[in-house]
Amino acid sequence: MLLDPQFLAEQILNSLQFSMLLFLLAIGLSVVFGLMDYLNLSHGTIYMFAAYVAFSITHLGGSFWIALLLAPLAAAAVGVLLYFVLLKRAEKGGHLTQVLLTVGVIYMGTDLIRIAYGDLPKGVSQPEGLSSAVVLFGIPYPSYRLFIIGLGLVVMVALYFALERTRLGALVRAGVDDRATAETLGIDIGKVFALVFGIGTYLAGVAGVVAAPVFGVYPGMDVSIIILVLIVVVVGGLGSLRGVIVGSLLIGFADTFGKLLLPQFAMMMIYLVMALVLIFRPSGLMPARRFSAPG
Amino acid sequence: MIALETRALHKSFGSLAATQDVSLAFEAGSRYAIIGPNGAGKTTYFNLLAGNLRPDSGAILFAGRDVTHLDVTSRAKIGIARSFQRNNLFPEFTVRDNLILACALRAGTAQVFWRPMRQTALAHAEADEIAAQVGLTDVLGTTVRQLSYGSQRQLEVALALACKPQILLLDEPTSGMSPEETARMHDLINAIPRSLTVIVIEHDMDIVLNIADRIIVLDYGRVLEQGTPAEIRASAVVRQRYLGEPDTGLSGGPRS
Amino acid sequence: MMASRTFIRRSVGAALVVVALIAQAHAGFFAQELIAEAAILAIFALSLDLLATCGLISFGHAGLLGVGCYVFAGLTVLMGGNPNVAFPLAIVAGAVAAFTVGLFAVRTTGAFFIMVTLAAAEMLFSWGYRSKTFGGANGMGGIPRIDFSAIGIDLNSPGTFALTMIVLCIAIWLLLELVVSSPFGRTLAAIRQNPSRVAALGGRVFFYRLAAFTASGALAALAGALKVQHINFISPELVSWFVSGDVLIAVVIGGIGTLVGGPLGAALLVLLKEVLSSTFGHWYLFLGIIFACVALLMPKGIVGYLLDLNDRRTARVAAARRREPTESSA
Repeated sequence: MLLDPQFLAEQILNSLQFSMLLFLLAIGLSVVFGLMDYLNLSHGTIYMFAAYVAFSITHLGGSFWIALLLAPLAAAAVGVLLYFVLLKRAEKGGHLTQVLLTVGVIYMGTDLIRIAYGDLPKGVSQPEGLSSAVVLFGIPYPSYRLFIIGLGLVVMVALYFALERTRLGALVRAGVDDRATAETLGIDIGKVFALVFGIGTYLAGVAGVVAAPVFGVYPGMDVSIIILVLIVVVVGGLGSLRGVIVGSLLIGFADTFGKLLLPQFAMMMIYLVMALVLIFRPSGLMPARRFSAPG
Repeated sequence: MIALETRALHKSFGSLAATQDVSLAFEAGSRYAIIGPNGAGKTTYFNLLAGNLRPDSGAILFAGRDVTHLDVTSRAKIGIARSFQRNNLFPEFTVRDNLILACALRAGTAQVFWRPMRQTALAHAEADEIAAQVGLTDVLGTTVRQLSYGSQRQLEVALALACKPQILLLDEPTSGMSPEETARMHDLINAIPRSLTVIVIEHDMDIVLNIADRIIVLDYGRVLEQGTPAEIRASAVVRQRYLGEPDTGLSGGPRS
Repeated sequence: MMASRTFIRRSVGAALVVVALIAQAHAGFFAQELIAEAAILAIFALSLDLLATCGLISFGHAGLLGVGCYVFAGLTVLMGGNPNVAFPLAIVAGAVAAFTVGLFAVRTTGAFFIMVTLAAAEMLFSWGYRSKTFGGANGMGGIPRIDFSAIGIDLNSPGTFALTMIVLCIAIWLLLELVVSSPFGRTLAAIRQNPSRVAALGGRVFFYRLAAFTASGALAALAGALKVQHINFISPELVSWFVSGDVLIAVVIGGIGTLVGGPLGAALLVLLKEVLSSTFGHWYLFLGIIFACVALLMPKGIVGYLLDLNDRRTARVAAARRREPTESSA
């Protein structure tokens, strides 16, 4: 079955689509971690929040496109607010403190969503313009999923230019590379970081809206995605755009084909990929900075 | 007998060649001082000797044996120990606990998990011995965090001594010390038995001229000159590069 | 100064033991169940704190607990084995699992280690959820308890079971106190403070970390095997990342790295959850607030805070002594 080229093509497209989703989420997490050494596990909660906002908007009669416009903005607003009110306090506290704080945010977020929306999964319908199928490589493929792939590619290119060609991008790369030196050069890392955090949560919001018609909207979607996103960051390496792209593709494909070949052991396959990468590259495949391991 | 030798050692960081074609031989039991301006590659060379860095090319031989590919831990085990430029201690432990741990690691008894540490008589005895040798007996019970900077530097050297090494690498042992503390460190280094080969990175020329049998001058990662203190003082090359310039540290005054 | 710290920790432990034994002696049925739950969580917390001694914080310890759960349940229920034999085998399985994961996980730095262990636990959870072997999401019951009838102890009685759990927890705590004060334990503590120096002194940091992780895995699996016996049920929820979070917060509330902090935090957490869940419908919200408060306000935990107070008092006394040179103790 796997050898059927049409089926294979379809699965490859599915993998690409999932990779794009992972990319949208992972880039925010990776750059935040690389820049500020901040492990923010509540990134997935923002993703979930945006999905629920999208549900509310469409439920109230708004179109998918309105949701795509507004929900990520709401997500970024909530994200930045969360940062200034709560997360910022753990910046100097070390990873354990950050993990505990952000897990606390996850617990709070999950229950708040449950209180507001209940436990049952919600749905967001695909936008009408994209609910048909397009014939690609001889097979019909949902145009909505192609849209996701296209959107991901656009964001990838935009981020590439932003990081490589703009001043802000240079500041970000400098900060990831060597924060202390960047600060002594007069760069206000605090402002750069707030901006990066905002963009990262905005993209998480985009991911939430865009994923909703495909994966549904339910409490717990934050945790199930964040674990895969963490694996993407570990595998790809911290703080580099290329690392996140490579990691997203690798895990996206591993997850899709894993679920196909061995559904019970899909997660195990992903874990094996991560283990293999870590054995040969303990800092990930393309980190912005390499760690040196003692002893 | 040559205790330690490097042959054409080379290390670059991107386009910066930190160590270039350094070939040096260290005689067993002798005292060496490595001097040179900041950025000359002295600590990089130590990192290569101790195993913290891998050379891009070249070889490191210890008593004739090629150790270029051994890691830090292996080199410590075979007898190459170092102290660090910035204090690299166990801040929550007392001075005694720092030393006992080092002795236990050396003796190979550190993996015992069925007996309390206070029952390791050998490690305790050795720790007390080293503390006496270095002059830390009075502060054995003090936590490192509460220790004076000078005492911390002494402990820094003491930990390296606890490895009972054959090669002792001391990276700027007197950095940040007061004149009294510097004098104490000077005596300490002189008192180290000749069974050890001691290589010191130093900026304080008084120390260098007093303890070193031979001085090696590094410059931009290369060996500029090497010889006895008298030869170095008389060297035209060294004079041309450094003597008379106030801030290179070679004038023998206190460091800023 | 170290003697004082050890004294404080062990005093807290002794106090906890006394409270636990008195509580157990007077507890009704429901309280016995809570006590057993707290004691098992305490053992689980001890396993996590052992690992924390060398500076490794695992956010996937539920995975190792789960190995104990699934191996014990599999050997007894699915294969009809004797629980007395299944128990040590489950512990060994935990050690093997931890060793295998540790081989590559332990080479990662702190934050990566957190992420790798989280992913590992999720792997087990995902399998338990999808696999029909153990009933998938619905779980499976019928887990037998260890048979001590030969020595006159009936573990099926809730009171006896709770007391046995307390005794077991005490024994494990005392054993770990010995390990932590041993050369091995002190090397772990040194690795937490300064791994590069340990390496420079000839210590193989990787081996020590791997050994700690393996031991931690064995203990966590022990707790897991006890857990399924206690609730007579196995389900993937036992391996969910919430469980990893719970044990981590228990250790942090009690005091990470203090050993006795684990059992203290475990007892508090079980009580807290009981109070919260019977008062509020959505009590994870409050648990989340508590997580955040603990993270920001008391990261060193209760015992950690007590130790800090003592350290400050000791430093003040020492400083006062130094200011009075006429005193012979200076």
